[in-house]
Amino acid sequence: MNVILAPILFIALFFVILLIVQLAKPWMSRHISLKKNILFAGIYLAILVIAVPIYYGLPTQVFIQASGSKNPVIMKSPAEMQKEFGWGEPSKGRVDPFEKGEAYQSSSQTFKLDTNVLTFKESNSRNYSVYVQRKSVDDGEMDVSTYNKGDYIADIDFTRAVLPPSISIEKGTLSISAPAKQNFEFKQFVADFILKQFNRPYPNLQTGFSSMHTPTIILIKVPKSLDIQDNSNTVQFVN
Amino acid sequence: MSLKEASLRSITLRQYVYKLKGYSGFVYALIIAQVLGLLFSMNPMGSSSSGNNEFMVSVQTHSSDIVRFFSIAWIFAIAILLTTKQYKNIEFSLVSNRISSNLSNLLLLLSYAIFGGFTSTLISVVQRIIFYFTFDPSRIVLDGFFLSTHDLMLEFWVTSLYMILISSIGYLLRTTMEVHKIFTVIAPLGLVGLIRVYPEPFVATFKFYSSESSLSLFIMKVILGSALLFGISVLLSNRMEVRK
Repeated sequence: MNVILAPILFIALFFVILLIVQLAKPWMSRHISLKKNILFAGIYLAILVIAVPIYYGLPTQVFIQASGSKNPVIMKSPAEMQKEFGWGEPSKGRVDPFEKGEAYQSSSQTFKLDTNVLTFKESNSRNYSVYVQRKSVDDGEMDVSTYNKGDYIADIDFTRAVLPPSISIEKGTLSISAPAKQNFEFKQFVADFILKQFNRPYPNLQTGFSSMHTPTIILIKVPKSLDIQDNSNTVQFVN
Repeated sequence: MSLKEASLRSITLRQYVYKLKGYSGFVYALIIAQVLGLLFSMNPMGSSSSGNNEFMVSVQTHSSDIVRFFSIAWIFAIAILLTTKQYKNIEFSLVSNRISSNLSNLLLLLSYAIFGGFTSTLISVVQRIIFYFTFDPSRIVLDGFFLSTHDLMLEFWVTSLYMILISSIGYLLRTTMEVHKIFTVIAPLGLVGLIRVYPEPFVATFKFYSSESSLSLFIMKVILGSALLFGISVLLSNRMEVRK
């Protein structure tokens, strides 16, 4: 708050409190006794004191984590992702969406294939990175997994909250459709002026937040001999 | 002439207990101020948003500064009210002198500061519990939500100290007004005017306290500052007529 504005607001507030005290005085002198005052102050104090064990008893795991916390959202390491993609050691020129870090697996589905041809249909024109990998066997099943490298705003990692695209297959056509636009409203407690003054380790009030959003990565593992027809060049092949 | 001589200590303590009982209604004003502060705290202090074609995300920041601000304003108002004629007349039903009156007021303000500091610290706990039960906890950021017991204690002591300091300012301001009627107008207007025209000394004084990150030094600064202001108030009031 502005150093000049603060005392003026403070004086205005002072007059409001003074007014409350003056207005309440006639009523207080008629209805309020010392016993009642002590009782009321005691109840107020008791409510506040009871709040402390309730506060410390709240479960911590239900809150959203900020990045750098002890339990980050990230589930799979780059090494695990390389294994998932069937890659060995990184080599020059290869497409590696995970080379810069870890990823969170947001969904995993297995579809039974009823045809030998696969075509793609991507609706809502969302920016997805689709990777196709051939399996070593012809098991007639297609495994589809979606990954998210991370969505952050002001160090808040909300990767887990972002819904994956909905994926379905019908008559050999794989449809990828984005979910309805999501709205996230996060609430963060920042250090009050005392905690700030004594440099306690709490988040500070910021005027602007940085944010990072990464596209969803879709990995499709198909049977060895499946014929893939990708006219729109939406997919990239691995292996 | 009485054979039993009353000591300053016993007179002050008797007055303090009397005032504590007589002015116990001030607690209602504090509760109202804190509940109002709590309601205002439900509104965010800041907000920022971003998004893409998949989602819209916003972060709203909250703190318990408003409750503390309201509590400090409350003690400022009480410090001013204590030296008004209306409240001072209560003292004349007891044996008293200027020093015992000022000392009992000082004790009363200290008690209020401790009560105000304690309740305003715990209100920040209540505020967080209300948030937990009224909003989806998975949309509340863990970092900053839980305060350690050490930090709660720190907030309690520092808020109480700030309240002592502010009450000493209010007490001096009102005592100055009592010296002569003209100061009733000049003192508040002059203060606001000076803040507007020459803010530097006020900013420097504000920073002298608010920039102190060592608790022991902060305690020392507040004790010395408050003692100085209360001391001036006592000196000024000693020069006044008996029943002014």
